[in-house]
Amino acid sequence: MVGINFSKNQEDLLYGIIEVNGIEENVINLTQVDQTYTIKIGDNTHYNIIEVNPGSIGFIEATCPDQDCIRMGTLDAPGQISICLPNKVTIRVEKSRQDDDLDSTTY
Amino acid sequence: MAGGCVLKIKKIILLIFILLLLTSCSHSQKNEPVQSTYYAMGTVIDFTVFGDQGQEAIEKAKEVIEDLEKKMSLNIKDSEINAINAQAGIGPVQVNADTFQVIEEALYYSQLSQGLFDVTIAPITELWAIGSQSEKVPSQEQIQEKVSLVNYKDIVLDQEKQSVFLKKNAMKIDLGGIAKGYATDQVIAAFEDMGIENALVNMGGNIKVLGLNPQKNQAWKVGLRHPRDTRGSHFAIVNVDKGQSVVTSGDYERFFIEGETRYHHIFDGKTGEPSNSDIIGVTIISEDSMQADALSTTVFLLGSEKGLELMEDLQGVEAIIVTHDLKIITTKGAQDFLQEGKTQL
Repeated sequence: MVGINFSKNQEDLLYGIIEVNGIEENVINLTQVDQTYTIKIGDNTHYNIIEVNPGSIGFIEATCPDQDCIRMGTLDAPGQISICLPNKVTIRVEKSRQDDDLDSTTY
Repeated sequence: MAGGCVLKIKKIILLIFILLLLTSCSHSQKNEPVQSTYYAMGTVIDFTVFGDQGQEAIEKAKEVIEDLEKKMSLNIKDSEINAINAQAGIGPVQVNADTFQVIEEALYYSQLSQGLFDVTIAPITELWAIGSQSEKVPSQEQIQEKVSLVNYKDIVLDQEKQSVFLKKNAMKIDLGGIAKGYATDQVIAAFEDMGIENALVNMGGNIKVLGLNPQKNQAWKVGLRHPRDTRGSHFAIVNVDKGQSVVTSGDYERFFIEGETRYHHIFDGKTGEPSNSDIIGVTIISEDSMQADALSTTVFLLGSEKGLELMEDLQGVEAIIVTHDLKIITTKGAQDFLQEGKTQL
């Protein structure tokens, strides 16, 4: 069942941002995630699999030779970054995303 | 003895009271939405739903999306779309009402744009493979070969049998430019059926709302993503409520740059190359998300002059266009949605 959210304090919000080739592809409100899911970025030869959890995000599988991004593990605090250089995929965690009090953004 | 019973009863009453307090503090707490995010249809989907039925509504929405994906996704082996494509040049394929409706609508926009937006564009999309490791600028020969397969007029629809036939071998339909919009409409319809009054769905950037934001007691505030600022800032805010939908198409979503040229994923059905109209981004506001989805691509391809003309001719839909020289052009009615003082590039 869904977690009980009592407060929507700006301080509680955590965003996972996935950048591909320097472009933001996904901005995920990690505080809103109630069930873990995975995202596959790339095609069948070159890809990264990112696991999105309640409150955290990280690479769990990648086709890159060094696997640095996997070693980075799970990110769960603002300012943390994990990069897969060969595949050009980056995950960043940020505290607050929306100014102007937006409810959502198109992209 | 009697005293012990009274104490026990008091404890039970206290327990029941606490229990009630705890359970009533779930999402029926005034104005706390149920929020959920997950991955489907190749993208991240976000739900914000107010009301006691919030959780059930989201579960229902996921069922609806899963069902549509099974029918319309190119990535699912035995989807109806793949069945149609497999029978290209061979014979008609009977499909579900949902799939038929989406293809009909896609055909309508192909006609409206006179083939610029063409639902049979898949061979070209696959040739360029933009966004994948095999993205490349194909040779003119390769483009010509594939572009000959792109022609919405070669789709034959049989209303009675609810079947679809692609006349030429190797023709391929891709509902990517319209299926998300359709799914968004279906999800909101499912919410309405369940009595949900206020909600916001964001399907991979495709937004549709119900009612308003009850926490702020005002219309939903939707940011329009800045087409050139890759860090996700917005260049305008639209206020939408009731059943409105906001959908954007831009050259910044999926592209690669070779030399000085940007090759993006919005292909011109006639040339087989990325559109080089004067538009870099267009947002459509409509109560029909499928329409908004199709129109955003169509207007992008038409360019600002013809695109604006088309939009002013259509009723009940608005457009906000960003041109390559970073000018903002809008339909008259769009001004009613734009938040004043917040529009700038």
